[in-house]
Amino acid sequence: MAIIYLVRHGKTDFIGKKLCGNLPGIHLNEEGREQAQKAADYLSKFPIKAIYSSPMERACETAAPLAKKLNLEVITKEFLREINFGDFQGKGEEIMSDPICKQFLATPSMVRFPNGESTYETQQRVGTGLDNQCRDFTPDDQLVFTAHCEVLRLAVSYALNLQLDDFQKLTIDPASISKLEWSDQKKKLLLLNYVPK
Amino acid sequence: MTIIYLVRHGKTDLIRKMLCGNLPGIPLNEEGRNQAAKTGAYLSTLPIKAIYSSPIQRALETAGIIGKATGLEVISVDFLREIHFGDLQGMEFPCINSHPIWQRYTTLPAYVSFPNGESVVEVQKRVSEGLDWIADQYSENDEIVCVAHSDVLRLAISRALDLPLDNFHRLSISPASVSKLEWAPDRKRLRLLNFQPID
Repeated sequence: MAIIYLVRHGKTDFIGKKLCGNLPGIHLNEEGREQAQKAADYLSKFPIKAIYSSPMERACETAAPLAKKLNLEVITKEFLREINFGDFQGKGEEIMSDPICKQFLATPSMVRFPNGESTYETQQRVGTGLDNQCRDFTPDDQLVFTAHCEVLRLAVSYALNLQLDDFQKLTIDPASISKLEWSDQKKKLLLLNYVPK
Repeated sequence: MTIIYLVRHGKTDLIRKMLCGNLPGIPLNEEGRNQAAKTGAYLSTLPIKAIYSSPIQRALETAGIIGKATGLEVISVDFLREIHFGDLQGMEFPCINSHPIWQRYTTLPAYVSFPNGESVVEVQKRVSEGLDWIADQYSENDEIVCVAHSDVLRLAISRALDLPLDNFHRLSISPASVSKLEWAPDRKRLRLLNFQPID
């Protein structure tokens, strides 16, 4: 059991332009680096025990200023990767009219991306990943996880028992912080989508 | 689509001591007034069009402090009242924890109906219809504040998320906290939950 902070990576030049998913070589831009610093300033007030990150550059770069402040290592975890968008990864606006992308916005529980993951699989890997990680800690331990929009919304939905089709009703903005109490027996959402100014 | 800020009243001396519900005569304490002032300062930076409040004293006081900070009158509306806990209203903690209805309410609340009070389903319906009524009066993107109580606000948010009702206790709403919803008939979103303006 632990208190966990879920942090989305800061802004990149591709947000809203390209479905980055797990493409390599996508970095924070200047605004994103400033956001990561602000998140670090906010989170460093708490007794953070460990910092975990998706292996993607933009997530690791978001975790870095906090790790530096607290003198902790960033530990990368595969279960924090963004949903594998398969054939859609790296594509732009042209895919918005594709039936699978439309379905992802309407009834995402039914979606599997061609050559990628299903929404349900992604939720299971991040949910059970967090379950396993939190089991090693005591209730007062505080952990930070930096990752991506969809995978974090799926983690919060898992905690709330929200129906999978409704997970996009949760907002996770760039560099936002959400806070949960997380154990096998009890999950509680303490804060959603706070962006430190 | 209207932007609705849901604010819980600040602390009172009876939080976690008594199930206050809609009992009259329970004011904010000093800490509660300070919390309300900070929440008011935060909300005064936003283009708020109107402030609605539960008619219960601790909510009206919180709304009054926010009204002063934002220069707006407070409109009292019944649909923001706390759940009517009926026979359980006024019971004290930890005594109430052994009451079978309270035990069910804190574990699987969806089908709980308080004796001589309201059911959870009824409360969610009245607060949702109330927010529909508010959203209907304003233009696209207008920002409104609603000041109320923990459980009625969690039920409003559960409606926005279509969260199965047995899970609404998984949402935290702290004293004087701010949560933000997009609210339209065909689209509801949770944009912020349980932010407490502290500094």
